[in-house]
Amino acid sequence: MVRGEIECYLLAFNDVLVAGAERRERILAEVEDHLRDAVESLMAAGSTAGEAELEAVARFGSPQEAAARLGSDPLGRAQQASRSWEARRIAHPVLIPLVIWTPLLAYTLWDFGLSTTQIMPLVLLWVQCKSNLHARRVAGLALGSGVIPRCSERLRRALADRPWIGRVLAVTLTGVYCSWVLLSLHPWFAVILGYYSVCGAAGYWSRLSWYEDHDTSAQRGRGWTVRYRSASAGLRYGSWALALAGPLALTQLAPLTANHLGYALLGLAVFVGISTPPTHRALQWLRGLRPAARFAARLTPLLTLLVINAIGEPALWSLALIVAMLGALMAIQWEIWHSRARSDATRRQLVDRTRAAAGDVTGR
Amino acid sequence: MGKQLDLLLLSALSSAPAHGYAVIEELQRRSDGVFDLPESTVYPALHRLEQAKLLESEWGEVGGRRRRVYQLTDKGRSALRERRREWTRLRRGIGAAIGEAG
Repeated sequence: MVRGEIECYLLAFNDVLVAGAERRERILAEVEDHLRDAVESLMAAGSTAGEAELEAVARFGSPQEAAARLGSDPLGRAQQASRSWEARRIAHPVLIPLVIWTPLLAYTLWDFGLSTTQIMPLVLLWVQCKSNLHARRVAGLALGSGVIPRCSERLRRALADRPWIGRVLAVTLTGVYCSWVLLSLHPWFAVILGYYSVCGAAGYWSRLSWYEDHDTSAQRGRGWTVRYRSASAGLRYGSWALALAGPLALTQLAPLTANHLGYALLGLAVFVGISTPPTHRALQWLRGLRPAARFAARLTPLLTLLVINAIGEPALWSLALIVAMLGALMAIQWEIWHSRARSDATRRQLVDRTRAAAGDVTGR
Repeated sequence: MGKQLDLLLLSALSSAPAHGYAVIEELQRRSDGVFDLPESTVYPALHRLEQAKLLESEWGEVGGRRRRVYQLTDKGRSALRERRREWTRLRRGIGAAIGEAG
């Protein structure tokens, strides 16, 4: 008799179930418990393990019927819709970014001529192409090695071992680029941007969750935040202290920015919205929130600042509303993305278990 | 069948909290095997009753395994009393209509 029927059933059931990650996990756990209980009962009544599994699965009904009875939830439906977009971007990894970013590139060329302004759309185009090609590789539809630009094996391995390099480089380059462009227009803005970029880079480099997020580095214990805890904590708290003192310091000490308290506060709001919290408790609290709520919590300082400004100057209400609407849309998208990632992880686990069960049977 | 299934599930859970499989076994035991429902129909009904706040559930350790255990809420108990009354009325009405004695 074939074993592993329960694992196969759960995988098939998971594939037809339209549910968000949390509900999906609960349903799968309940169905598995049910099937295991049924197998135990049937075996106690004299069936063999294989017969009991087949019987238990048959009694539960087909995966399609069972999933249909449980119905769908909004998050599950949204996940499905986002999968169809995922399928499109995997099918056309370069074409879609071209369609999206070429108009912006054309506009900047038309409006500013050939200048540094084109760097941004080109960077966005490149980032999206890379992201789509990565998704395509993950999905098992790898392009030929000649098509995807690849760095040397040594450099690739070095980057994989030090995942922060890419991010720090991206943040630094973006900061330098923005400062460069803005310096000629608003020197005071560049000073504020530079100040908060330094705070952000220091906080990011010493962030608490850094080596929790990357298994390879954590296993090797090479993270400097792990080795020099006090130094990293000092840098982390220092970056937050510097950021919080920013509005006062910038308006009192830097002559260029003396009259721009509002922009200094804007810098602080963006810093608070992006940075990792300095304490473990705050980080745990933030991680305990639903993804959409986490996003909303991040956006709150910026939105509060915009609303306070709008109270003084009614013309700014439209900006506050636009930011609030964009924030709500992104929070929903964030929730869907997280739910999808969690559902994908659940599916991978089920696939592994199904394979292990099949291997277990073959090995007997 | 929806209302009757709800009544059956609320009744099965009226004596003690139980997980899904135990609820099905209890129903089969109480009905002497008459209620042999497709097993996957029970969980949607349990979830629906939970959404209606007639049941509440939590993960618990039963028989050495982690399971979702359901129990009646106060609202569920009063709903059960109400549905039992409704059922008694309905049974009497049908009995009278088909000429059943007693």
